[in-house]
Amino acid sequence: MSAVQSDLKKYPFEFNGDGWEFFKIWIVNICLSIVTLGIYSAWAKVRTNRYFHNNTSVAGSSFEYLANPIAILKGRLIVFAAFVLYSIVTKVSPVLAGVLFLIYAILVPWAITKSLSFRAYNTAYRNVRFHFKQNFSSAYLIYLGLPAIFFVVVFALTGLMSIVNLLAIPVVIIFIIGFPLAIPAFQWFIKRFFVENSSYGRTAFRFKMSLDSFIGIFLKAILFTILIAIGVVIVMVVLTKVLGVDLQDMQNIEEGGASVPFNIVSALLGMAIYLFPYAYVQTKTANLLFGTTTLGEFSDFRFHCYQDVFEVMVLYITNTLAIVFTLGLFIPWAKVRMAKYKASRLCFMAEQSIDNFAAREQERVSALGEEFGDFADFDIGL
Amino acid sequence: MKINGLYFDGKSSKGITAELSFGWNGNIAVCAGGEILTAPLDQVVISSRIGNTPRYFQFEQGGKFETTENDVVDACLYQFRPKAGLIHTLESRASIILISLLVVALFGWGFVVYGTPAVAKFLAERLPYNTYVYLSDETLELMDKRFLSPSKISEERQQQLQAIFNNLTSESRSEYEFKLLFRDSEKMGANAFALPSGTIVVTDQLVQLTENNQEILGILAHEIGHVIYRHSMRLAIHNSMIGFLILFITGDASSSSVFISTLPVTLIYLNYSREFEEEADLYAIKYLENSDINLGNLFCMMQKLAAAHKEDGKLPEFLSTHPDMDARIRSIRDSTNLESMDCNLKNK
Repeated sequence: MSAVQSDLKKYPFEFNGDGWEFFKIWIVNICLSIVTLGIYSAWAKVRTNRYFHNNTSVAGSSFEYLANPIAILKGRLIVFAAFVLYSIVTKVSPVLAGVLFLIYAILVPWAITKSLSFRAYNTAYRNVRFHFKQNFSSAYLIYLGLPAIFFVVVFALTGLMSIVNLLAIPVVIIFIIGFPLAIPAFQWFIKRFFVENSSYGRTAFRFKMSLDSFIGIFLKAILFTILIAIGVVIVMVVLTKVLGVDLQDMQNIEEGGASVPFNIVSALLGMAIYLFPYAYVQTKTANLLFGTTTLGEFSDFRFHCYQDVFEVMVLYITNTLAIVFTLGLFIPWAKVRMAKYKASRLCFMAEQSIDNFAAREQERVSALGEEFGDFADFDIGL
Repeated sequence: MKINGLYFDGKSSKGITAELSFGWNGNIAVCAGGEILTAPLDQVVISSRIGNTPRYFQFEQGGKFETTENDVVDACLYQFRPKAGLIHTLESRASIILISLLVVALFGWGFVVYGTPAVAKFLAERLPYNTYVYLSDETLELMDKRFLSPSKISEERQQQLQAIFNNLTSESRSEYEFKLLFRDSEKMGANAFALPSGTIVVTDQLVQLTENNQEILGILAHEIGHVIYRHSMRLAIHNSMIGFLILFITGDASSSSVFISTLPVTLIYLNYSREFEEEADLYAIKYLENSDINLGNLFCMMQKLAAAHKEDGKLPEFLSTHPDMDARIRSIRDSTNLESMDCNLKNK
């Protein structure tokens, strides 16, 4: 006698790309972009995105990237024109340049929203497009409002500190505690903005990540950084004592003061300080973000992401080394390896049939949106 | 020929196992779940081939057929559109890949070797002089704290050299405020360096090494050459450009590591700065020639510096970054047209 029948089905993601295959596409893309003075780069971007979307599959179907290269080219030309306009204006009048800069800054949240919308609209799965709601008020609140509040608070506190000397220590303590909390909190708002406004066809994604669990990842990363840094310092001190290296000489690297092996060892140790915490934040954030996102109001459709910190770290190190030693030619393989790994650690979990997601009525994202869609190419990893 | 795949109607995510076939007259027929859909070829948007990724047939009324059978699709399509898939053809030809690789390598090499120095030069020449003054003051302050102490050279000798220096700078184009400073520095030894604003610092150890004022003149002219060609700023801009380029290349793919990337920067730096030293040498030679000063002075001074620094194994700024120091000395000797030079190398 079985208990309640569980209809849970797991659909693992797969990435079927191949390094050599992508290398050929990549090198032709770059070559044609150079030969056409950058015009082909819009087509190159579409081909690259199509390669990665089409090769990602789940439940027997793959993702489609449908963007029109002409729209991307127009977007790039507009951004280029804005840049040229700015550099001309700086020559003519610094005041006018300041005003122009302010206008551009005010346009950023709008452009981010348009870009996300363009990207979602042009991504489809099983002939159903994704959608990103153009929620401008949230975008302005997050990308302009929150930084503004942050700076006002910082200025107010520093001002207070300089007026009332007694408050110096409490203010510094507030800063020390406040900064490590404020940055992940800001990130959390961005991620919520992205997930909550996204939908697959008519079915919206829901963001259920708690703020404290997200901040926890960052606090742990800070703790790891401090511990590793202490360890590295101890190792360095021991090394200098054993090898008898004069630390004063270290400052004259140009003159080749310290021995080369010692420099390499210290560079590697320096890498360890930031590499582990970096990989830790990346993997744990991905795992938590996917793990707490549902498709639809309830948890009938959810994700399971289980990236491993050390596996990701090994990927980072080997990819970077290979890229450096091949003068960049390894880049296509590095991208494919990363995509393969990420897909292999992601699962779509469904308690109901995945056949019933309804598409939206065909509504095109406005032409202007498409043109700005590629604006600075904002990347939000989901 | 039948092509197997899935059909999606575009209203929901439901997929139906389907078969697609090309008719002899160019019609496309999809048989999905017992229903047959037909459309003329020119009303169906067929996605172009990329690698071995799935293909999509988009029908006008919103339906879509997805298949992984790329080769069959290409074979069927060929009879109607022999020129389709041009880019994919390019991407699959070994010769095209090889040519692309060569073009990209050539462009990359040209950009690093000729492009970035040109941009650095362009920018350095357009930066306002204020920037140079600001940077120089900052640098001097830092150097004073770490490496330099007040000079112990006699007031008289300082004034003597100052007079020579003033004479020297009054002849050069003067958008710069040239200044000569003396500093004592055990750490740097016999050395001279130029700050971008036109301030030139000479160590006591260098002054002590010289026997006559004409010897130091060559060194000063060399340093003024660095200032006039804006070498330090060009180097700084160039370095940050290369650093940015490397970050852009590696960061894009692996999101990590700036540290290992500094290696190629150093290599490029060495080569680039050697050119600068040669340029400054040429400036000094030209100046000495115009003032009818024997070039042998510069030649002797360089030999002395090289000898003085051989013992501690470190080269001063004036000589560092020159793996082929000998070649430089030789080229100066060639300009002097003197077969033998008596340089009075001091032996400690």
